[in-house]
Amino acid sequence: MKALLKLLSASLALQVAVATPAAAQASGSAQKYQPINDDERTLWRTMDEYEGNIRHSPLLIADAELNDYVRSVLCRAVGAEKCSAVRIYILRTPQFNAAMAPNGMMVVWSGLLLRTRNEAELATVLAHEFAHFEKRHSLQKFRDVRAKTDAIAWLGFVPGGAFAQIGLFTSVFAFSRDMEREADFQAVQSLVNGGYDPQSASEIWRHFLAERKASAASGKIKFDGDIQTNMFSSHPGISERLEYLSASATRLTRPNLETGRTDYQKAMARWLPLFVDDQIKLNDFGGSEFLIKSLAGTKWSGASYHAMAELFRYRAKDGDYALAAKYYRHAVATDPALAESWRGLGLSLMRTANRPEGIKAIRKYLELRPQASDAALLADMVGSEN
Amino acid sequence: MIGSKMRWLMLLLLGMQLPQLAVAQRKFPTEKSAIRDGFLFATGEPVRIAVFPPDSEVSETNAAGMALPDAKATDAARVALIQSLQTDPSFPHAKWVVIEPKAAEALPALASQRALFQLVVDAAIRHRLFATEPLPSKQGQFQWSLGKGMSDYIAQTNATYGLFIYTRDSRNSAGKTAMQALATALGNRAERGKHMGYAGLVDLKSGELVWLNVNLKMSPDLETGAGANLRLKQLLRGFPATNSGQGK
Amino acid sequence: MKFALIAMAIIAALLMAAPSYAEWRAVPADESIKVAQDKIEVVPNMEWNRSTASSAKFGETWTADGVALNELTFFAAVEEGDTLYWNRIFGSDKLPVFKSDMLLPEIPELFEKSNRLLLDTPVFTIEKVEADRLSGYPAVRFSYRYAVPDDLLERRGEAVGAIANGKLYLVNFVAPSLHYFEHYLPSVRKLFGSVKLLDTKTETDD
Repeated sequence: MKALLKLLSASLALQVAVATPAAAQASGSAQKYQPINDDERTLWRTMDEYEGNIRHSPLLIADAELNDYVRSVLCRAVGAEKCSAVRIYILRTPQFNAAMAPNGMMVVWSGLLLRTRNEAELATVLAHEFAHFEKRHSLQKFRDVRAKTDAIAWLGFVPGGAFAQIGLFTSVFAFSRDMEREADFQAVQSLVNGGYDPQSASEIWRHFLAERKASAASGKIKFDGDIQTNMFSSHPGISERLEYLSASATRLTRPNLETGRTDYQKAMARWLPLFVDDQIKLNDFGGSEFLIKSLAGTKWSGASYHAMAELFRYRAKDGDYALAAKYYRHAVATDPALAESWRGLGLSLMRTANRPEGIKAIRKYLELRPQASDAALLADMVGSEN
Repeated sequence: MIGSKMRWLMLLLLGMQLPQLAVAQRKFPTEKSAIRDGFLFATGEPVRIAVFPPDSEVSETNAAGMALPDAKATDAARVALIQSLQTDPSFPHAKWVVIEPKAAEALPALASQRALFQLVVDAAIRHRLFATEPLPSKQGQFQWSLGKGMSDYIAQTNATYGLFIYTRDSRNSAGKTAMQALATALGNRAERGKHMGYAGLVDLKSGELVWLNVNLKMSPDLETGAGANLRLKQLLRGFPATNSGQGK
Repeated sequence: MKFALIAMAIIAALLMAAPSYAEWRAVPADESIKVAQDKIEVVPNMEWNRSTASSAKFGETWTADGVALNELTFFAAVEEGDTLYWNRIFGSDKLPVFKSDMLLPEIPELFEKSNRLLLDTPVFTIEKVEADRLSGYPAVRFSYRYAVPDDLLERRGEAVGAIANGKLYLVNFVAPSLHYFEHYLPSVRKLFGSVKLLDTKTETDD
C-alpha cells in the first residue's frame, strides 16, 4: 500500500482488482469532477479498481466517528460542495502521508493523524492533496511519466545508459515543484476560507523537520539539513517552503481564526494509544521520543509516561530498563489503573535484578487484568514467590 | 523484506527486463494442466458449475515495460469471455451458473477466497505444474484445497463446482513495438505482447481444486468475439469429462 | 548518490543472475529428523518439505503446500545480540536483537517487533500467550494474527519458544486464516510437542 501511495501521487498503477466503484460516499455534485478524455478515463478506472481493493484492506480504519471527523475537517477547509467529490480512506500506517487519486479517492495514513496537532494542521495536508486533485495534476504527471518512461527504455539501449535511466527515474514519480507550490498556496487559502489559522501550514513542516532531526540524532536516518525523505523528496525544500507558507499566511490572515486544537485532541484521544504504539514499534527511537514528548506537552498524562517507558524497554540498551521503570512508576502514579504499565514495570524491574518488586508489579497487573492474553504465563512466572 | 521504495523500484526495473526474461522462459513449456487422479463428472443431468466473474485485465505495455490498463478492452474482455462460455457447444455436460459481478459482491468473502485461489495456483504452478521448485510431497496426487469456506456458495448458486477464470493481456504500445524492432535488429528476440491465463475448477463441498489449466502464451484479442472464443477453448483445454466420455 | 548505486547494483544483478530457486527435500512422516544444522530434532506426523534456504537467520523452513500457504520455521540457537531474521539489505529499519537474559513474556514481543518491521505492517496482534515446555525447558507458546498491505488474506500463526543456555529456540507456524491455519494446526502442535533441543547442556535451574 505504501508503494501504491507513491503511485497515487504518480498516478500509474500495477494494482489489479475487480472494479467496484465506491458508492457509500459518492454524491451527485461530484459530477463536476469527471474524466475529460481517454487518458483520464484510464487513470480513473485504475484508481476505481484500486479503490475497490482498499475497501477490503486489512489496514483500513472503518470507524465511522473518526472518518466523519477527518471528513468534517476537509469539508470545513475546501467547502461542502467540493468536499462531496471526495471519498476518504484512513489506513493504519504509522508513517506521515496522505494522497489523493484523480478519481476522488483520498487516502490518509494514521501516521498523519499522529503528527498533526490540531485541525488546522490536518486541514493543511488534506487541502493540499485536494488541490492536486482539483488542478488535475495527476493527469499532467501521467502524460509526463508515459513520455519519460518511454525515454528510459530507449536509453537502456545506450551503453552506460543506466545512469541516465536513474536520473530520469527519480524525476518520474512526483509532482513538479510548481505543482507542489500551487497546492501549498491553495491550501493556505483554504485554511483561511474555513476559518483556520493559516500559520499552521508552516507549523506542520517545522514540526516534521524537528522530528526528522530527532530521528537522525538517534541514528535512524541520515539527516541532510533539508528534507529528503521518501515521500517528500519531490516537495520544495523545507526551508523555502516554510518561508513562503509563512509569508502567504501573514498576507491572508484575518481576525478570529482558530487552530481547532481542543476538538482535535478530543477526537484523537481514543486513537492515540494505538497510533503511538504502532510508532514505537517502528524502532525509530529518536522520532518516537520526539512525538511522545510533543504529544505530552507540558502536562504529562499516564499514557505519555507509559509510551516513554515502552520506548525504553523495547530499546533495551544498557540502563534502559531502569529508565523504563522510572517512567512506568510515573505512569502508575498518575493513573494506577494502567494495567499495561504495571506489567511493563514488573518486567523492567525483573530485568534490573529487582525481582521482589517486579513480582509485586506483575501481581498488580494480574489483579487489574485477570483475563489478559498473557495472564497465565505471567501467573506461572511469578508463581507463589514473595 | 525490502523497503517499499525499493520494492517499487525493483518492480519497475524488473518490468524493463521482461523482454530478456521472456527469452529465457522460452526453454520452458508454456502450457500445463493437472487433474485429480481419475476425476470425472457423473453422467446424467448436466452438472451445475458456478462461474465466478472472470478476473481479467487488458493493458497496454509502453516501451519501458509498464502496463497501463485499458478500461474499455478490459470490460469488453470480461463480457466476451462469459458469452463464449455460454455459447460454446463443447461442454454439454456442464450447466454454467454465471454469477454477475453485482451478485458476486454479495457472496461472503469471495474476494478472500479468490485471493486464496491465486495463492494456491501460484503454489501449484511453482511446485508442481511447471515445477521450477518441485515440492517432493506434491508430486503424487494433484492435491490443493481452498477449504470448507467454498461450501458457503452452494446455497446461493445451487452448484456442485465453482470455476475461476484469470487472464492477463497486454498489447505493446507503438513505442514498445518500435523499440522491439531495434531489439530484433540487434539480435534479440522480441515479444509481441503478453497473453496468459488460467482456469481452475473447485469442488464446492470439499473445497478441493480438482482441475487446473495454466497457459502462459495464449491467443490475443481477448476482447473480440472470435478472440474470446479461441481463448476460452485454450482456458478450458483438458476440462474434466463425464465418466461416459462426454466432453472429451 | 547511494540510491543510484543501489539501483545500478540491482540492474547488474538482474542482467547477470539466472533465476535461482530454493531447493526442497522430502521430510517423511513419523520419523525423527534433525533440523537446523542438527540443533533441533522433531518427529512430524505428516509429510513436509524442507528448504535449502530460509528467512530465519539461524534456522530452517518447511512447507506442506507452498510457503505462502503454510510455513514452518525453526529458529535454532539464536545468540545474544542477534536478530531473528536477516536484516534488510538496504533501508534503515534495524531489527530488534535477542538478549540471553530475556524473560519468557519478552519472546513474543521480540517476535512481534521483528515481524512488524520485516513485513512492513502495523496490523500484527499477539493473541494468546501461555506457559509451555519445549524439550523440558520452560517455554512460551503464543498465537498471533497479522495482515500485510495489498493482500486481502489475513494470516494466523502459532509459535513456541524457549531460552536454553542463553540461546533462543523458537518454532513458528504461519498460514492464511482461511482454511490452511486450522487445517494443519493439530499436526503442528504434535510437532511442537516432539521437539528435542540437541547441542544444549543439561538444563539449569529455573
